[in-house]
Amino acid sequence: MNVRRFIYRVLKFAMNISTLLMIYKGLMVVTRSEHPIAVVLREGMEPALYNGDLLFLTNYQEDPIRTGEIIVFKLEGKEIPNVSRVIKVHERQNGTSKFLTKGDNNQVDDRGLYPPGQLWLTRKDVVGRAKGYVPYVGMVTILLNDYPKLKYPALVGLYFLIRRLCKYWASFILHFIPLDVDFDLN
Amino acid sequence: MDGLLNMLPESVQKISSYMDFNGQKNAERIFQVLIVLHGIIGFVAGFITQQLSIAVYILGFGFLLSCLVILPPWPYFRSNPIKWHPVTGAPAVEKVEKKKKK
Amino acid sequence: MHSIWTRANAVFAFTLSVLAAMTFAAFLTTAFNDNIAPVVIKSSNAQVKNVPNYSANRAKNDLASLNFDIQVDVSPVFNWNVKQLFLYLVAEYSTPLNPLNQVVLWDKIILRGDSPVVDVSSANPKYYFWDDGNGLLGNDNVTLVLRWNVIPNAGYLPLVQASGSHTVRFPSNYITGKF
Repeated sequence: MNVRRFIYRVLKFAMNISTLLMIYKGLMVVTRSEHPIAVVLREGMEPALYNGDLLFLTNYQEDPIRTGEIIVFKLEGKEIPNVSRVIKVHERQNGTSKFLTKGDNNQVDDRGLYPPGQLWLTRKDVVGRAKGYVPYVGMVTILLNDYPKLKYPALVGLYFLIRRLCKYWASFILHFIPLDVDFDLN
Repeated sequence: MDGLLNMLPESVQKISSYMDFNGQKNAERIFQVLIVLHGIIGFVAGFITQQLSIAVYILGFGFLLSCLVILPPWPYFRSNPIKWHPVTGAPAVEKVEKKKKK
Repeated sequence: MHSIWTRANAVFAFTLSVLAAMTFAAFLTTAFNDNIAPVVIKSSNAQVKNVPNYSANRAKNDLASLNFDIQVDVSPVFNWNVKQLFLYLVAEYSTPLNPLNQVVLWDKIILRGDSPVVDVSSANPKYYFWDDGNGLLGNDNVTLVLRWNVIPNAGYLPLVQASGSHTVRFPSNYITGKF
């Protein structure tokens, strides 16, 4: 492989990565959530949401939180955000509200999960509110989290898989674009 | 992928799954039509019965069917082998003759 | 496309694309449904007492009790892109402290294949009906509504309110002892 080709490959790879990053950051701006896409990692919301399902989140501050919504919230001192359903809302005159959550699959509310002394969630704890749902798509991330040793081989494999799929899709789309050149194989 | 393939036994690796160019073109069109057709049939059937699972099963059947039709190198996909020009030029002829002697 | 592996890859990738397109089309056919069904809610035996809330701030808050009936048939909501309905009964009211309060009293998960008819009679709340303060005593405008969260196979997650509600009037005297 000559130098020019190598540099081209590296640049193309960087281009792919930055395109993905740009899409993600663009979604962050549009949805105003710091995690516009989230993978469910807990059993607390079964049978509605299973491990590996994908959620699309928004976080518009002017849109008030109401009971029944599925929200993703991050608690102080915890790495992984929780997914749960709002079961109580108390809203003050000035618009500030406090609310309590409970997972569909749990017998009791989530107060036990909150840090000691915290009885309610407030707006600042909310990372996003579930608006859309796609099953199974997040499975890959779960595998990576469960088997950290797989992480780097899997990422490389995933990269090549995506590239292959993209190449295939591109060639498929090209079928529908009339080109002047056509292959006549007979 | 290549690494995985290398782990297969020698005898399996030697089996040729090659299709000629015309066969490749036909195979691609065949599976595209099969899968899209099953997707549409599945969508309609699922909509009528109001069961999304039926739509997915029909699409899965289309996938299996097209695997069966285009994965093995059936003779149909090898019926247009490339016709090479006859070898011309002195050195090439010599080589061919040498091989024949062996 | 020359070897079996490239063909398998192409068929798989193409099937995934068609599956995604099909799922999206299924979502589009149901995206504009209003998902509403009528409900009949009744209640009786509304009582309030004033006791310390040990699950929260340990201050004396209003704790209410009532019995309710719910009759609803959610079969019109179950289209082919609905995996589950999460039904929940909400008590909505306003107090001088909080202009808006929502407390879930009862909920039920209805999966595809389960009976879509819900007929609950003189049930007790599944969750404690605590107020944030003392706003339930004599409150004559506590509205009970039934809402559901539609969980699709893939797509939007709407919150829908059933047509029909019920207003509860709480007495203006605390009771002592058990409900």
